[in-house]
Amino acid sequence: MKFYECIQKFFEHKFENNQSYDINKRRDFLNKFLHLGIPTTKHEEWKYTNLTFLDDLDFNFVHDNQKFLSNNLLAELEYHDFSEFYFVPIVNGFYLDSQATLNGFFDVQRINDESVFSSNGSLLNFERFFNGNNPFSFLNLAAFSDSVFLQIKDNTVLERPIVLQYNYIFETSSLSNTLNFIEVGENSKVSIIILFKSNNASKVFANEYINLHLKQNSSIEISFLQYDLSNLILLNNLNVVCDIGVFFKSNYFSFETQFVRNNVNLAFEGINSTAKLNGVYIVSSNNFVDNHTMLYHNQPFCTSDEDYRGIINEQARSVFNGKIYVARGAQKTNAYQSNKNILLSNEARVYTRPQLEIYADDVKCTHGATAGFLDQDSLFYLTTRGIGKEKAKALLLSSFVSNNLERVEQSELRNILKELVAKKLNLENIYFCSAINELSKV
Amino acid sequence: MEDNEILKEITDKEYKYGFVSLIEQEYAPKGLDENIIRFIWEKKKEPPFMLEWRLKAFRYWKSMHEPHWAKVSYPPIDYQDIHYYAAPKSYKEKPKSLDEVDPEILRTFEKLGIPLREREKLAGVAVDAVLDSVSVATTFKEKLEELGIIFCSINEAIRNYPELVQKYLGSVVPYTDNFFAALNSAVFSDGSFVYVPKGVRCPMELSTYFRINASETGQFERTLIIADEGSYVSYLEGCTAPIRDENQLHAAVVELIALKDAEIKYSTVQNWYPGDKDGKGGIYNFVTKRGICLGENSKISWTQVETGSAITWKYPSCILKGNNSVGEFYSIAVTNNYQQADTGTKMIHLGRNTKSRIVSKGIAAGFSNNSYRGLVQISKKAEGSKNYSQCDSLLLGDKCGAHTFPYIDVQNNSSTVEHEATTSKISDEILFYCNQRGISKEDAIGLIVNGFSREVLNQLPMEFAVEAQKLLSVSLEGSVG
Repeated sequence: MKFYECIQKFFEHKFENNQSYDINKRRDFLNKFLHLGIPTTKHEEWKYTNLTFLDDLDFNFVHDNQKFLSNNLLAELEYHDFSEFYFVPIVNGFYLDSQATLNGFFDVQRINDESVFSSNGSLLNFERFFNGNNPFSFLNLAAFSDSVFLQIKDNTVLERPIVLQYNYIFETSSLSNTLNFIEVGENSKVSIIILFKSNNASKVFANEYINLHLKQNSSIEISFLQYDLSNLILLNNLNVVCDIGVFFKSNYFSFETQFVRNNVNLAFEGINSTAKLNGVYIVSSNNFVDNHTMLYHNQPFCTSDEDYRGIINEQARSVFNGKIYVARGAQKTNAYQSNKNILLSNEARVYTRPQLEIYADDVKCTHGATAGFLDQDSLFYLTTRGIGKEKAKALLLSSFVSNNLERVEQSELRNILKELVAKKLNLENIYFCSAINELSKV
Repeated sequence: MEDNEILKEITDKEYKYGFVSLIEQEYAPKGLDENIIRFIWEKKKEPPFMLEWRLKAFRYWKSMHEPHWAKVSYPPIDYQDIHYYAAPKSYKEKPKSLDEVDPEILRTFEKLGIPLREREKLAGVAVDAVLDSVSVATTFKEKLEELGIIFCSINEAIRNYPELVQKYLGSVVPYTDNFFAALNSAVFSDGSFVYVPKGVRCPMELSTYFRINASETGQFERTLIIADEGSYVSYLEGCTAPIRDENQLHAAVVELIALKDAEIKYSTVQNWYPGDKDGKGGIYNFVTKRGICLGENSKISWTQVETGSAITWKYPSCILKGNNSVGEFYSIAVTNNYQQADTGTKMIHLGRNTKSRIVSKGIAAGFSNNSYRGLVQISKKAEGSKNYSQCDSLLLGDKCGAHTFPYIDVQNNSSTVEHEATTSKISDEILFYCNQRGISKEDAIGLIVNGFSREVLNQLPMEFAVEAQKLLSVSLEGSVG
């Protein structure tokens, strides 16, 4: 019950005094959230995602910009690994404009409640995604602390990626909600990297939303990198609306995450669009990672391709829930979905649920899911070639995820990911070709 | 335009078994309370333990709510507006031989293509015929008795073999299992009972034919099959109902128990009245079927061809408890007009080195919705288990829907689970190829649908395979995707 108490307390005290908030709207959304409540495992979309621990946690809501600035926490702020890139930092739920590196081809603005909620506001396109399947979407709308609107202008190709970095450097248990919007203009192309960083000092519950609007003929690669988040409960939500002729690609990488749920809702609202969703998760100890994708093929001639792979060790658990919805009349749809898992320990658990809901007949939809252990024959083959069992295992595992890593177009990010994976799999510096080179020397 | 005509032709197709037999019926009053349950119990002349069990189930049922998670929609069912018991008036005691059976009833079954007399002469299949709430005839009883096989109505079994029934009834599907299982446990009237003793291989197919004849009734049958160590039995089930504007409820429970080294093969051709082309009438088919592989090396295989019913809600499942046991599920579900099917299976792996295989083929036409919903669960102790699932859907027409909802839950690292599914229409390339070879569009589609469902049809016993194939060609003749 504590969780609800925190919310109530927060709304009664701080929140109502804040002049810039649209109290009525926010109240409505809060009531919707309270009405739905924290989803239990009886809820179909949360069947394998147990949130009962939330009840006992005592969170502070983030709603005070000053407090965070007055602290000397800024000093702790670790800068990102991509110093060459455009940088949009969000620290403890607030956009930190003083640290941003920008460029004239795109705009980053803080927006207020009015421009979010008004009848032609930023939220308009995305309202459909805020529904009972995810009660936390209403919590976000009721309690978001800051909202950033990132706009890439028409006919722009950004050569360097934009890094949107979420930093959590709290001293006490806190709940962070931000509601961000990204719009990619017509014929534009951009690569966005979303980084999550935490000092892991206290328990943080982050319920973040990015609403992405892709205009005609635009192209985006959006990559989420989540690693070493040992004290973060992360609900990472992405809502996407695609106009005509859009190319969308997402990469989700989760390594060593205490509790992560990645929700992707994507709607094709124009013809001839393509969406590629790519994901790798490598988890161990008592980590939990949950990838939920929901693709609405509302228009004909669209293609979607999902490929998620995971390695689950020790007592970790992973969930994949993919749903493809093909609306009546969305003919010539191609939708592919695949989820493959390797379990390395007897305590690990995998739940996978690839679903299809199809109302048009001229479609090609497939899905596949596997869960299993390392191929013993391959392992044996490698050991007969004089490769130690551990190394052989690592080689096989790295090749299992290598395809998905290679799909990342952004080369700097790809290299970083490869290093991370190599480190995770105790491959040290060996990776792919370098591994083979080293072996040939032996 | 040609496509439209052909589609119209299928949707207009009449249901072949929709006639009503004029048999004088005896009903229990409408509604459901403890008195009705006592009435059924008295009618059935059951021992006291059954009354207690039924009442327990009924009380539990009252505390439950109708489940709505399945992808089907229907107006609320008034459970007090149904006759829970209906029997032909001429029926006092189950006839000893076919000569004593009411000729009208015999004619009914003959019309359905199950000439009981002929079946008796031509060796092959032993039939238990169930009309509404009672079993009217069981053929080949003596011959089976020689081998020690018990094949009778469940009502006879309760009276004659209470210890077997008491031991196994509700052991696989307890009355607490779900809403419809609880309802069935409270009011079930008849069904089949099979017991195959140790080491006996049942020499013929056992078969039950269910027929709903009376109006405003529900049929609640219960089937219990026990295969003792090292035995084998193949069981077939078929069903039809007359054309009526009302929706009738059918809530059955089937329990299979396979002991060590035993094998049970259970085949269903379900052809309840599916409703007319506007979706009026039809049977609501809410069935709980579950088998347990209790002993080592046992095997349970479900095969189903689902073409009827306005609503199908059915998940024949296997609990693989014994080590090295095997579960199989083969299904073809065809929906047309406004039919809705939500069907699939559950494979619960508990024992070591257990294997399961799921092959599901869904064909949707008209305005229908066809869903596959399945669970594969590999528990921690089920080391070295394997599962392979395949579910394919074929869409004919652009107004129908095909859905797949697989649930996969793996809890150890020595097992493998594979799942794949495809959804598509009949591709123009394949049709064109057939046309090129001088095969007409209609024949080509027949050929493709047949090929699509071959893997499942092959699993059916000979007698049924022919019937099922015919059924498929009838319901999908000339359809063009």
